[in-house]
Amino acid sequence: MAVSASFFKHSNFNGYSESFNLSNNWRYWWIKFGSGLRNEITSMRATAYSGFDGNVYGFTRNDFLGQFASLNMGEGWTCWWSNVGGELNDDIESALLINRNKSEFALELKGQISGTFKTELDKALADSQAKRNGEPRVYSVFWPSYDPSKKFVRVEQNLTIELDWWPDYDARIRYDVYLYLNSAGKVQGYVAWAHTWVEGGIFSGDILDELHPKVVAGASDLNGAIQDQLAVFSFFTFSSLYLLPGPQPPMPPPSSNFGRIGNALDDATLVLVS
Amino acid sequence: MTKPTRDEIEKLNPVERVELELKLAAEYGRSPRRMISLDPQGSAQRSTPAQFSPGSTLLPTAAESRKNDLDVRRIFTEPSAIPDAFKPVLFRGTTQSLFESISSHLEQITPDNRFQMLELISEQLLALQLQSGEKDIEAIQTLQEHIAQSVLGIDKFKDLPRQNGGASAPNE
Repeated sequence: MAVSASFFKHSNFNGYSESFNLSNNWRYWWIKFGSGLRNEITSMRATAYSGFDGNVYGFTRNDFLGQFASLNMGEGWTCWWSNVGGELNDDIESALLINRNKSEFALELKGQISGTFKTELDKALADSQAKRNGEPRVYSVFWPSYDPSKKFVRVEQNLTIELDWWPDYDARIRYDVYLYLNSAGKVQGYVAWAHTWVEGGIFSGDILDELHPKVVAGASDLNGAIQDQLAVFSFFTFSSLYLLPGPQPPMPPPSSNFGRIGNALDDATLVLVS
Repeated sequence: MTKPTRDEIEKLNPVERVELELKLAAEYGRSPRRMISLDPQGSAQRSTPAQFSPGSTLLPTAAESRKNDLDVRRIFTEPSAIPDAFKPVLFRGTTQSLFESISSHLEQITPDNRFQMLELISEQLLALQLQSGEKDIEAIQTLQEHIAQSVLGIDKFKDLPRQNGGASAPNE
C-alpha cells in the first residue's frame, strides 16, 4: 500500500466512515461519495508509506473542483483534519488519493502560462468588441464527462462583450491542454478542447457564433506557445507525468504542513517523475 | 434611448427584458439571427475538440495514451448491501464474519508486517463500511481505533495548537 485514507461523518473521527487504500500500482484513486458520506464529511485522516509520499484531497464538488481540504503526507507520516470546519463541513462530495514519488519535479503552472496567455489574448482581441475581464485562471481538470479518460490543464478567461445598446454580455473561454509523456519519456502537450460560454440574452447565439470560431482558431496559437514552454524540458526524460489540483502542497516536516484549505481553481501543478 | 444599466435590466421580467433589448437593438439596426430564449438563466455554449492534420506529431499514440491515462482507480461509494456476485470471493461474508476476520488480522499485526496486514484488512474494511447499518457504526469506529493503534502506533490524534488538524511523524 502507499496511501491509506479514511473519511468520517462527524468530527474527531466519529460516526459512519469509509476507508480507502491506494496501492503503488496506481497514481490516483478517484472517489465520488454516495449517500453515506456525500455532503456529510467532517473529519479525515491519511497515511503514506511503502516508499511513497502522498496527498489526499476532499472537494466540495463531485468533479474534483471547488474548495478542498487537503492532507499532505511524507512517507510514514499520518496527517489529519479532526474538523475540516467552516465552509467545507458537510460539503465534500469527491476525493482524490494521490501517490507521490520521492524523485519528482513539481511546477506550478499558472505563473508559467498566464502572462503569455494574457498578452497574446489582448492582442487578438484588440480590434473587437470582446475585452478580457480579470486575470486568467489556470487549474487542473480531472476526467471530465466529455473526455473521461484524460486529465487537463485548463486555461480559462472571463470576457465582456461590449454592445452599444445594452449592458455588456459576460462570456468565458476555456482551453483544455493535454500534457503527456511520449514513448521516449519527453513531455508533450497540445490544446485538446476549446470551450466558449456566453451569458443568456437575445444575442447570446449570435455572439457565440462569432466568438467561438475565433476561440477555436486561437488554439493553434496556444499550441505554439505550449511547444515553446515545453522546450525547456526537451533535454530531460521522465518516467511519469501527472497533475495535482491547486498549488504544490508543502509537505511535513514541520507538522504545520499537515494540510490546508484551498481552492482547485487557484492553480495547477505539473509533476514530472524522473 | 440611453443604454440601460445592468441593475435596471435585472428589475425587468424576462418578457420585458427581451422586448426592451429588441427595441434598443433595432435603433442600431441590429436584430438577433438566432431564436430568442425567454430563460433569463439561459446561456449559449459550445465545445470543440482539437482538429489535427493526419500525421500530426502533437497527438499521442494509442500506447502513449494508455500509459499516461490508465493511472486511476475509480469508485462511487453507495452504502447498500453489495450483492455477493460483486464481492471478491475472499471477502464475501456477513457483517459479523467481516468483523471477525478483520479482528483476527489485527491480532496478527507486528511492527514488521503492519502495512502488509493493512493491505489485507483494507478491502474487508471498506466492504464492511459500505454494507453496515446504524447499529454497526460504533463497532466499526472501535475497529478504526484499533487499526490506528496497531498499524500507525497512534493512540490519540492531538491537534496542533489553534488548528483543527495535525500530523504524526514516522515512528512517533
